[in-house]
Amino acid sequence: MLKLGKFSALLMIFILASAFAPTEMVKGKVEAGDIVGLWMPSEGTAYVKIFKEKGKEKYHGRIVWLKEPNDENGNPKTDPEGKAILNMLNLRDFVFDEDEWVDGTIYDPKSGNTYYCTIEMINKNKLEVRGSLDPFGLVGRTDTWVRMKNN
Amino acid sequence: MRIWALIALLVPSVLFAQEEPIEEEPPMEEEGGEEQIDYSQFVQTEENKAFCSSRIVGQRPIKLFSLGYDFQGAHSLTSNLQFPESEPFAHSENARKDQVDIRSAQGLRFAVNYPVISKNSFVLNLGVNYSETNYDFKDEVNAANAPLMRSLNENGLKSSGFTATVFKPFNSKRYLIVQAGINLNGDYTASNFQDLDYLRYTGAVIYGIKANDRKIWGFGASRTYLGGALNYVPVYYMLYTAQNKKWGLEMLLPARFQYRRNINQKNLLLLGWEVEGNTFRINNDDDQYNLPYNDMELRRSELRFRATWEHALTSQIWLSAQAGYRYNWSFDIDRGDFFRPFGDDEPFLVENTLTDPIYFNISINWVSP
Repeated sequence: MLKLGKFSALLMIFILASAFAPTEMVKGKVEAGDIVGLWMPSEGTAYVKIFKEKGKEKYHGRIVWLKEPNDENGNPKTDPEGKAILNMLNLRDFVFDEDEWVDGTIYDPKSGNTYYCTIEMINKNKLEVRGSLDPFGLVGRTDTWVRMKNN
Repeated sequence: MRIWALIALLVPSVLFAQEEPIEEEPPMEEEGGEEQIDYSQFVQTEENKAFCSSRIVGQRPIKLFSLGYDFQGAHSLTSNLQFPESEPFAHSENARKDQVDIRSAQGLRFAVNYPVISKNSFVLNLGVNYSETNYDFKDEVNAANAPLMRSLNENGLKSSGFTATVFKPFNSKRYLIVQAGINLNGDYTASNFQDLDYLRYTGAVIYGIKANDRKIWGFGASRTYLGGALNYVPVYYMLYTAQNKKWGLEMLLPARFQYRRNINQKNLLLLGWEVEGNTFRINNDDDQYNLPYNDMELRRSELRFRATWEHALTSQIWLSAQAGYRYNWSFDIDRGDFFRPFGDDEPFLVENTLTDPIYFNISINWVSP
């Protein structure tokens, strides 16, 4: 028998329970244009402006603000290929399908990798953005983004 | 079967996964036009608590699926059999000392590490792993002159395991890692499987701090069999990438330490060591090895000093080639499963000497880059 103690067992149960806590989605009430606006990923170090492409039913996102725009040497932060992160297009080609935005990609400027991506709206001010290695979303990571407003 | 079904499901997606980040940005005109806005004045509409991630820039890609082959070169095994209560084994000066030459010890290794839940506030990874070591003896061995060698010769050693790892960030700096593992180790085969009473349990808890995007560290404790026998040891965990992003350190002390050289986006060179070990049951159910007990366990532990080259074949498929020196820490035998701390001078039931060969390991890996 695993002898990690009652405290560890309770801690594990708490952690697992918190992971499976339900999130209230606003399925059925979402419209394609609801995603347009300024959003902050959970790390809180950048803002992404999501916009609709003119003349098309496609949505993209651009990094428009960085908490720390410069690196340790005072130069603008870049991705591994040397491209400036500020004003970089990191969300591409999303289309609205029923209640989520699909078929898009997300670019991680820290690692230089592009992932498949789907976006769901939890409520008008929160998104769940899932980047994945596979097009089915089986192996990936979900991040919660919050809408930003002008103070 | 489920694992193979999962692999069958996942492998095609690997083949069709995107290879490179998009090179050129096409002209993108926004509906409504672009405005000049001071975004620093914006505030959150709702609280969105920031959580640190478990990864840093420049670190070695995480292996989701790995299939490899491990090969140890020629070495020898001297078994100092000392069973005071039983014939034909005699104690002290009459103890049997059988030395045999081993041409090679080799086998397949397989591991899956699947992120079942991966959110910014919680990550749960489940993993399975299997490894085998098959011994090729130079001369014929039999139960009469070398019971341990006969068992190794006929069945080799197998290790199958299951792990669950939780990464729970509390905020943008502090986190907790909880890991639990179950292993079945022994000289079992598919047709003569080992009783689940011999499952061995491991665990670790680490509490730490993510200092920045280039450094994460933590302290904790683990219940481990890496030294061969059950032990409880403090651990120190750190991933670090230098400011110039050309080198870094990856360690979980005392089990492993690696200096990482980031040659470029597709090539990494790692230098360091890793401890591998477990306790393996030697099955003597039908007295086939003429052993006096049926609860004997081989405490195998080895220290591997190695150089590893990791190369990206695609963004998600990496080749890993490793070579080094395998130093034997323990290849001794005890009865049953019990706590044996490092430095414990209680004699083993059987004390063996295994010489130290060079080894290599090659694997193909599906990674999360």
